[in-house]
Amino acid sequence: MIRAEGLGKQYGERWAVSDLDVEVGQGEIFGFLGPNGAGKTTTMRMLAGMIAPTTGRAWIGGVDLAEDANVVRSRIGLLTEAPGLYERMSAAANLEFHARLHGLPTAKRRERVRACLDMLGLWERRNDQVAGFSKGMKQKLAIARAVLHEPAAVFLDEPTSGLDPESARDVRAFILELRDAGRAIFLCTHNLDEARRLCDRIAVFRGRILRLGTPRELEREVVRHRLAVRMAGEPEQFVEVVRALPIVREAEIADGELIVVLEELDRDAPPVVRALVEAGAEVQRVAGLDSTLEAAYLAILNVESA
Amino acid sequence: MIGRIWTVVVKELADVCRSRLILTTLIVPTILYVVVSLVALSAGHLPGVAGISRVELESLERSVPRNSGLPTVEAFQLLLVDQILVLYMLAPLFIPLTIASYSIIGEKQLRTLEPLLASPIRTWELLTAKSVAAIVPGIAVGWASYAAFLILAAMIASPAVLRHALGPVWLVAFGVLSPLFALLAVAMAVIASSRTNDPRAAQQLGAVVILPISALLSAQVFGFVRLDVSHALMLAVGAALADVALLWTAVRLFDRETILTRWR
Repeated sequence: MIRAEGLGKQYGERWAVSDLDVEVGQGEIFGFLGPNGAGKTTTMRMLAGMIAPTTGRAWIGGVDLAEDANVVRSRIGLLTEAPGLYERMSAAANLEFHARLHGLPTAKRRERVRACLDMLGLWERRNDQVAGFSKGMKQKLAIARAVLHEPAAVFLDEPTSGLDPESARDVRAFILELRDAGRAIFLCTHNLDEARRLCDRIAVFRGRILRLGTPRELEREVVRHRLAVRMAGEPEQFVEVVRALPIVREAEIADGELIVVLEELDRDAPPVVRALVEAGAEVQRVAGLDSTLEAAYLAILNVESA
Repeated sequence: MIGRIWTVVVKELADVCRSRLILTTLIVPTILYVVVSLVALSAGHLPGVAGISRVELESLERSVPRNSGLPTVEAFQLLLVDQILVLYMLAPLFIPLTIASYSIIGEKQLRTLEPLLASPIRTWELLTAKSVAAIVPGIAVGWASYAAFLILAAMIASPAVLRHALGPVWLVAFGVLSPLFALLAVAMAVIASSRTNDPRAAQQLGAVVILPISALLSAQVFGFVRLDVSHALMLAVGAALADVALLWTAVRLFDRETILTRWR
C-alpha cells in the first residue's frame, strides 16, 4: 500500500533522509522510531505527497507520487504533529470542511462525519467550538479528520503525544481498529511502549533506516539476555565462577546482584544456577531481566553513533 | 474543482463573519462613508455653501467642463458625487488587502495549513479561493456604500445628480473595475503572503499595487483625468489581464515545501 524505493531528501548540503526503502502493507502498523531531527516528519511529508523527494520514488496504492501528488493526497490521511484545527469552528464543521475538500457526496459526508465523531466519542460535542476542547479531544478530532475519507494509507505523527492516559488509550484502540479495517498505518512516535504494543514492524530511523523488524526481533537482536542472581553474602567471589562457563558472555555485580549475560536465557540459566550452587553460593532469587524495546532502540542509536 | 474552491470561499467568509474585529472594520467605515458623504452633499443646500462664489465654482467646474450651465448647487453636488464615489472605490482595495495578507500566513500561524495542504486541493484552487474570499467583503462594502448613497441621495439631491451617480461610468466602475482592481491587490497580497511569514510585509507588498490605482482615482478627484465608459472598459481589460498574470504568478511562486519546512 505504501512503497518507497531509494527515497531521499537533501536540504542544502545535508541529507535529511537517504536511501529509504520501505513497504507497508494493508492492515499493517509500521512504526517509525527516531530521535528529534531524525527526518521522520520529512519522510512522512514526502510519502504524503506534500514535499518532493530529491531522489527515489514512492507509491501509495500503486499511484506514483511523482505523477500525481493530488491523487495520492486523496488516498492518504495525515495526522500532523499539531492538530491544526479551526478553533472557531465546531467539531462537525471542521470535519465537514475537510470532507468537502475530499469531494465526499452529501449523504456520505454526513454518514462519515457522524461515524468518525461517534467512534472517537465526540458526537455529543459535535456542535461545540473546538477552542473549548481539551488537548485529547482535539487530537481525537484531528485523527477523525485524517480518516474521514476512508484513506487507504494513514500517516500518524505522534498521535498520543501529550495526552492523558485515558485519551492515549482511546487513541491507541482507534489505531488498532483502523488496522483491523485494513488500512496501512505509518506511525511516527517517540513512545517506545506504544510502538511495542501497536506496531507490527518497526524501523529505527536516523536519516536512514538503522534497523527494521518486529518489536520482538529488535529486542532479541540487539539486547543480549540477562540473568539477575541474588544470593546471601558477597556475590563478588562468584563472578569468576560464572565467567568460566562457556555459555556466559559477561558477568558483573550491580546493586548487590550478580548480573550474567547469556546467549539464550531459557537454555543457559539452569547451568549457571547449578554452577553457582555447586560453588557454594546460597542462591535466594533468580530472575531474567527483560530486554526492552527501549533498550534495543538506545543500543541501535548508540552503535550507529559510535 | 469548483466544489473545493467554493468550500474554501464559504469557510473563509464564515471566518470573516465570526470575527467581530473584521466586521467592525467593514461596517463602521461603510456607515461613516455614507454619513459623511450625505452631510457633504446636503451642505450644498446650506446658505454658506450655496453661496459659494462664482469664481470658486468656475475653478471647480474647469475640472468638469460639462457641468457648466447647471445651477450652482447642482454643479457643486455633481462634483462632490464624483469625489465621493471615488472614495467608495477605495474601500474594496484596502479591506481585501488586509484580509488577503493573512490568508496564507494566518493558516500557517494557526498551524492549519499543513492539514489543508494534505488534502487534494490544488494550489491554484486554494489561491483562487483565498483571493475570491478576500475580495468579497471589500466589494460588498463598496457596493453597499454605493447603494446606500444612491438611496439616501435621492432624498436630498436633484434628479440630475442622481442620474450622474447612476451613469454608465459609475456602473462600470463599481460593477467591473472595482472587483478587478481589488483582485489585483489581493493577488499581490496572496503572493506576498505565501512568500513571507510576516503579514505586515505582505500588506506592504500588496499596497504596491494599490498605489498606482489610488493615484489614478485621485487624479479623477482632482480633475486631471476624466473617466468615461470607454476608458473604464479599457482599464477593466488591462486589470483583468493583470489579474490573470498575477494569479498565475502566485500559483508559480507558491512553494508548499518552503512554506511547510522553513516557516516557523
